Amino acid sequence: MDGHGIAFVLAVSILCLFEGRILVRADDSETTVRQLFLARIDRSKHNGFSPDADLERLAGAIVPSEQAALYRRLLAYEKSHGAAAELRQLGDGYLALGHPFDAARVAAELQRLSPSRPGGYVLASVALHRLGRLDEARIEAKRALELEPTDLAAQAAYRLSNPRGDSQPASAPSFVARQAAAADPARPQAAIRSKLGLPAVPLPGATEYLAPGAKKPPWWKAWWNDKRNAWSMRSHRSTMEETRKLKEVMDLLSSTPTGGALVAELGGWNSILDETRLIFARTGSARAHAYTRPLSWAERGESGKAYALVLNEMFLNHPKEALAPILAHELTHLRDFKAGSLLDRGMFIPSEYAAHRMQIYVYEEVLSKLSEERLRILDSNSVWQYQRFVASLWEDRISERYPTKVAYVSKFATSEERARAGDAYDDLREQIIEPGSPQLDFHIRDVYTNLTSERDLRDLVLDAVNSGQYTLQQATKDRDRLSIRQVMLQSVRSLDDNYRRQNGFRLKGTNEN
Amino acid sequence: MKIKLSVPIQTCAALLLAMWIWKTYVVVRPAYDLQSYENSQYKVWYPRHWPKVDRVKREDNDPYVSFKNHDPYVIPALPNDLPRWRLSLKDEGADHASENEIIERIRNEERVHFGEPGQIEIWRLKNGVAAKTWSALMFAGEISVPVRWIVFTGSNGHVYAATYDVPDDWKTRWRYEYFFKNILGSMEFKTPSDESSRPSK
Repeated sequence: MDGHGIAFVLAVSILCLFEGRILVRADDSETTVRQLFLARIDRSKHNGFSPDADLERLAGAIVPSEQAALYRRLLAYEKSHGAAAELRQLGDGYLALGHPFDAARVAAELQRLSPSRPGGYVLASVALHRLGRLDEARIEAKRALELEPTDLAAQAAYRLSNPRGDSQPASAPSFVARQAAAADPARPQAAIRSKLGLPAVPLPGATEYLAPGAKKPPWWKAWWNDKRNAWSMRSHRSTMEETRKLKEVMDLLSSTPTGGALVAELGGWNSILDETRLIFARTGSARAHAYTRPLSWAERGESGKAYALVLNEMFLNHPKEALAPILAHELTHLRDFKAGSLLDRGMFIPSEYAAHRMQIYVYEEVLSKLSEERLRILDSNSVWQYQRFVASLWEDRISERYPTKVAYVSKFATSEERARAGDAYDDLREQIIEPGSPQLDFHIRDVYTNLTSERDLRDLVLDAVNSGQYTLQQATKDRDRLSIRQVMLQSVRSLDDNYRRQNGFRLKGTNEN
Repeated sequence: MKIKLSVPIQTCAALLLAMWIWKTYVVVRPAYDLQSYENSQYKVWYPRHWPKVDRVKREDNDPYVSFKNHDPYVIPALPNDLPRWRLSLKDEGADHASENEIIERIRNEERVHFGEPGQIEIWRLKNGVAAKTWSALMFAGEISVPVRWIVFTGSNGHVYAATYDVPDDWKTRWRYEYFFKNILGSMEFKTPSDESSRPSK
């Protein structure tokens, strides 16, 4: 082909590319969210829907595979449509397809564009309701009603979020709102969140998505650790002492309400032991004291057991009361593995949140049965000590129970724990971390991000944002993964609220007891 | 077998290496502005972009001061700064115990609760203080967290014990060792005459 030929082909290609862009633009400009929904429904069924049929009904007529494609289409649509009326429809579209997190993001943008219109607040209320954050949903609905008392959608959202008909006062600013007020828009995280299409201040529960973390170990190190752990575990033969100790810990765990329910959820001890190699053994690392993981086909051997739950053999010297919460922690990971939710990267931290809560519940229940004398013996045990620390973060009322930092700090036995406790106390006093569960979660995340692969998720997003290459495909993939995390976190927090309610643990500043 | 690289490839390789060294150097030896914290015993300088230490009034008898790289939930620009690293500094006072007694007490706690601590080394800080330092593992449930202790006596006769979590990643480890060493090395201890001439904070 000569030079003229090449120039001709190039010119035609460029024209085609332009044409493609023009066509896409034309398609976008002429399409509404409703039309996008209708396009996914068989034409023969179109007559079955009235012109004002809501998006929920339309979504019900779309097959699941098409719903996923439509969700991706809505994400693309969101990038090129920013007017308030379009955003309201878009938010409803996300809700209809079961993506309340995306709807909440759109609601935040809508509130920014039209702060005096109720639409953004109504949308936020419904999205937060779907996310199980009822108090915040009620506050948003209340704001919508204050702006437009006769707005039917606002009235409906308020009824939805306030089923008992409580009169909710215009609330004090939430923790998130306080953070928003303090946030400086020039700070880098606000810019990053804005590039990601997220509100400048994280929505409730969204802070974990960009959690700090540590570098994943190199593949050879991970491989070597796996092999070493596997060899240590496979070559281990349990002694009588180990078996007896394990039995004591299992019995104690089963005797607590939370532990008993967890064991029952996993099918009882017989079922757990049938499919899990539960042993005291070397963990292959001085830094890992216990782990749970699925076994590969080759590792299962003749026993056919699918999981390993290994407690470090150094635990043999620790009292059963200190070990029962650790076993509950590991059984929670086993439950998450069996549910399939721990096999995907980015799920480790939510599983740690759940495991720590289970550990704390069992600790509290064991603690309630202990005599003074036994408690004195346990107070000098490091495993028990750490549980006491995390439980004190979760129990909260630290500043009520310990009016000075020195009083709180001095209840811990080691200098290292005292330094950590001092930091936790300062965070509460400076009001930079919400007390109770959020403070516990922050502590867990700070400890575990150094050891898990959470950084994958954050790096994936940050690197792409920094290099300006955050593509739609990546966004879609991340959001799918984040949705699973959201469901896990939501379930952890709702169980936590129930446990607090049922067992009389209250947070500072609430009237609940 | 001898591999011979062409001149352009050698140049490219040298350039890439130089860029990597520069990028690493910027991370492990950061340049930053300073702010100060002062109490009745010492004045210390720490990075200006870190949160202020005394945002709320400290308790009078609080011997702990923590220097943290950022507030919770903040996402800084550099990935190495992402976890919330902190240096906790405790004034052990002048009356209770000597430097060696404090070191022995902390190391004994570690022996009893967490396991044998590492060897003691000496760090020469910028203010001329010879600090004794060692690493250890702190028990945190199903895992252990590596920590470092630094204990020294100031020219005011007070013993100070500082600790921080040691990052896994080597660049982050070097970066924060640099930050924390500089903070401790910037401490200006006050003599009793300084105390009487200045209002305490």
